[in-house]
Amino acid sequence: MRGFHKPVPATVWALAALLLAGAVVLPFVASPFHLRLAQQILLFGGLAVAWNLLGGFTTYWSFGHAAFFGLGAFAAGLLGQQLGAEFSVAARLIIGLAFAVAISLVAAVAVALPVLRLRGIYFAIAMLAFAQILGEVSKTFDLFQGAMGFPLPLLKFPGLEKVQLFYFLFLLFCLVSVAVFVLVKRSRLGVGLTCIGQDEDTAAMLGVPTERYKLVAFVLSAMLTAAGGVLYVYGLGFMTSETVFRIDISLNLILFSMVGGIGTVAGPLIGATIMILLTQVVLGDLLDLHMMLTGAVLIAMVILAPKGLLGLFRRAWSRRRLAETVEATP
Amino acid sequence: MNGLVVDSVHFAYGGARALEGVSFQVAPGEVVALLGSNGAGKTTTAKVTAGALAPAVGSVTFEGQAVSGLPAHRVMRRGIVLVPEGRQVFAQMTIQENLLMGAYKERRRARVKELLERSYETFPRLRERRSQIAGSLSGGEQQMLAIARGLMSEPRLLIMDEPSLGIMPKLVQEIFGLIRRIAGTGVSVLLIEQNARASLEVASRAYVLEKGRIILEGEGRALLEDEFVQNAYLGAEN
Repeated sequence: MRGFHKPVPATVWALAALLLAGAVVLPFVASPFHLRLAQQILLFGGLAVAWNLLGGFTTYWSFGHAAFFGLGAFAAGLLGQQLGAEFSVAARLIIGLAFAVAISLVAAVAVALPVLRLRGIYFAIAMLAFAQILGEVSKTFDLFQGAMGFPLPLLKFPGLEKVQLFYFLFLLFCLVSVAVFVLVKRSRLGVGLTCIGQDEDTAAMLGVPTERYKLVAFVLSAMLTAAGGVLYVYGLGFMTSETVFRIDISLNLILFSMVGGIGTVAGPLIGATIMILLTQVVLGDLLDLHMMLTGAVLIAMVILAPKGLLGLFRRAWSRRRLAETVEATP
Repeated sequence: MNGLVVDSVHFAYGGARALEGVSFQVAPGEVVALLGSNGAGKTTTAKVTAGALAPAVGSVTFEGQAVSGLPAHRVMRRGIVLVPEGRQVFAQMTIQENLLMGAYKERRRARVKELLERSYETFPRLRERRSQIAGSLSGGEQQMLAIARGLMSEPRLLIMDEPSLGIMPKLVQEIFGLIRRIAGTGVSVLLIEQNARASLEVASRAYVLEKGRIILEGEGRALLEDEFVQNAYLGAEN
């Protein structure tokens, strides 16, 4: 929206292009282990960006985004089973993606109408409960096969290993998330959401259609999350309730955003990179310590850098500039 | 009547009755003061009028059309703008961004530019500090910003809830002078105030609200002389 956003500087474009070029070359030079790490960073980084569509602008923090992740996965997985081998794997994946996105749109609207009226902590708890309920339902009814789980067909693409192929799919997903977020942030919708985040009642007084904007942000976020869930289970090749309706997925999206910087596009990606490298590489052999470390990082961030690493950098940068101008003045 | 007509409005927060049949009118271009002590229902009246709360019974009509029951963002598009109590500026946004938010409904860029320019002419101090974070302003300056932001949406009725609350005396005079100027441009003003004396001096008419009911109404000057008002709201002064 004019007046709120400057044009993207050339340096940022150049940096983004450089990163993208690196990301495209990576699967042809990196080892499968590193590629798997990169896959996770792209997928969960992209999901964290999607979470930010609502949680980054406003104080509506969903603690249950795994609900949409799992819902998408189950919708696509079960539909793929029904379609059967008459359809190619790629066709099943694409139809599944469309179906998952459509289902999550309906579910998000249905859940948002009552739940988005709750503010702050009540919204967070309601979303947490929603995810738990979906997880239980998928396990309890045999129709959904969530307790036993079921396999997903193997997607192939000529000339690419599986790990490379899914790397590119996750990269594409991450790019879509980033594009949606940037477009929203720079639009009237994003400005309105930012105001809702600061003072919802005043925003409404100034003509921001608060209910509609929250709904749109929530639904967009849910649809992207569902698409991420579909790609995730196709990458695994097998799914149960436990693999998708995971509370640690919901929490990690918040954690990554907080570590990097909530409400920014680079923040969640930086957060995901740092946390995934930290837990999988540095502590790769100490699986038991992951959750402990995650908790410690979260507490440290809340106390030391509530605006995330990007917030820290920005503060240091503006201090340096201030120091320079002070020195420059005689 | 062309202006604002509030007709026997009732409102309750849960079981607590806040308004019990409030009726008043504001004619186009008129400044009307709404006086009353704490808890009389002034802020609730402001919120019901601006659409932040929907009345349980009764109606709010503006320029001949019912606005009660519409969501706040629709009511403001009809020309009613509330400058809320406690100067709710967006503390983490710059001053200019706050002002631009006032013109959020306006999609014509040229018009937004004009409005911004007009705003800076009225409030030169805001121009100097336009790229500062609004939270860094003093209380009085934030109040000015909140009023300027309200004016950016070109209201035909401006509701001001306690604009002088917690503001240093010198600025209070400035704010009441500003209210006069706003009314001079043809905007109706509903002024909700504890500062009864200053309000009655700028208002052409006033209503006194107590325990959710209008107990007195009259011309501003006349109420200044009224014995009851003097005792209850003006304090014992020689």
